[in-house]
Amino acid sequence: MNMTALDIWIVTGMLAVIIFALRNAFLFVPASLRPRGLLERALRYAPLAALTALVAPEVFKPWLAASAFSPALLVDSRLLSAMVLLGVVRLSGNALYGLLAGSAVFLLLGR
Amino acid sequence: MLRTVADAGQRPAAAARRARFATGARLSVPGMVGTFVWGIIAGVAMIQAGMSVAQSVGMTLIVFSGTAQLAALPLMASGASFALIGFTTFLTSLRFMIYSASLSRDLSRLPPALRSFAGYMTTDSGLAVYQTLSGRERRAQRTALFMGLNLPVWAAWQVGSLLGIAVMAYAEPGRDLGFLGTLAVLALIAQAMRVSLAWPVVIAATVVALIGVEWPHRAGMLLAVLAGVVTPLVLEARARSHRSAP
Repeated sequence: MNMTALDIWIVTGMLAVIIFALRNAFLFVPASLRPRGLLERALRYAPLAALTALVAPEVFKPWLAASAFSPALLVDSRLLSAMVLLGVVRLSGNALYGLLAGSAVFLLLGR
Repeated sequence: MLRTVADAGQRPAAAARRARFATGARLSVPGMVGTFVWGIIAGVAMIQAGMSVAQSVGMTLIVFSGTAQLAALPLMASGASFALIGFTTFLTSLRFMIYSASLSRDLSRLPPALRSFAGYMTTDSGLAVYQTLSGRERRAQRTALFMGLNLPVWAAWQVGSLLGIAVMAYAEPGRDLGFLGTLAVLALIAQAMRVSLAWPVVIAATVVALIGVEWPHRAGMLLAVLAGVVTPLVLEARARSHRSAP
């Protein structure tokens, strides 16, 4: 963790305020003021884009750290568990099954 | 005399509210299971990222959002700025704003304290069920149903998180389990990918995020978000212009 204890509490307070405000937004502001048109469509894609931007470097961490391609990268525990997760969600339509399958693969492959 | 009249008027209403709460609680069970598992992983990931037990418990109780907490952890671990963490949290949690718009008709006439409590309680699984149960009933019963659907999910999240924190704090795992938090976010991505134009979002954001991973000030991540938003908008615009062409 690259933060002091105070920093962590500040971040916790900040997350709490942001989430609380978003969850309550149109319970206090008239819903007629909600974003429309291009902004509404952009906001619809933003969460998926942001989550992907956060996750991609974590999944491909061994790839990013490697100096040259090696077959071992293809069977890396991170990449394999991510692929299993995506495949199971795709087939079952259930995010929980995907998470359980992906986690099992990650834990079984080790390292 | 007065009392009996008041009781006669209130008892059926209170009973109806309790019945709606019970209905909600019963229907919340599948959502509780998933939320419980996500809670365990969030608890594990917070301790693994280097947060203390007190900090982890505090975050899970106050923030109460798996996505926001799991998404913030890698940024916190790498010492990102408060502004970047805040902005990312805002983006990843925009769905709550959409939820609030869909709830505003039912909840916005509650007293402010109860209303903001209901807002804080809003969960993904609770809302998903609530929206399938559009019934013609009194507002108080509707509110009771909403609480019945969400309060058990809140409890499942807290218990799961505390369990994850406890396991990590008292049973030293032999290896880094932080990636389980990444998988928990990836499962949410996979679920969100069933909407149209999700593939262009994910591909564009992944490519830019990987290319720009070493860029200063996390510029690669911010540009990846931008690419993930602009790409589907361009595709939408092109589809429209094709359709309107003679």
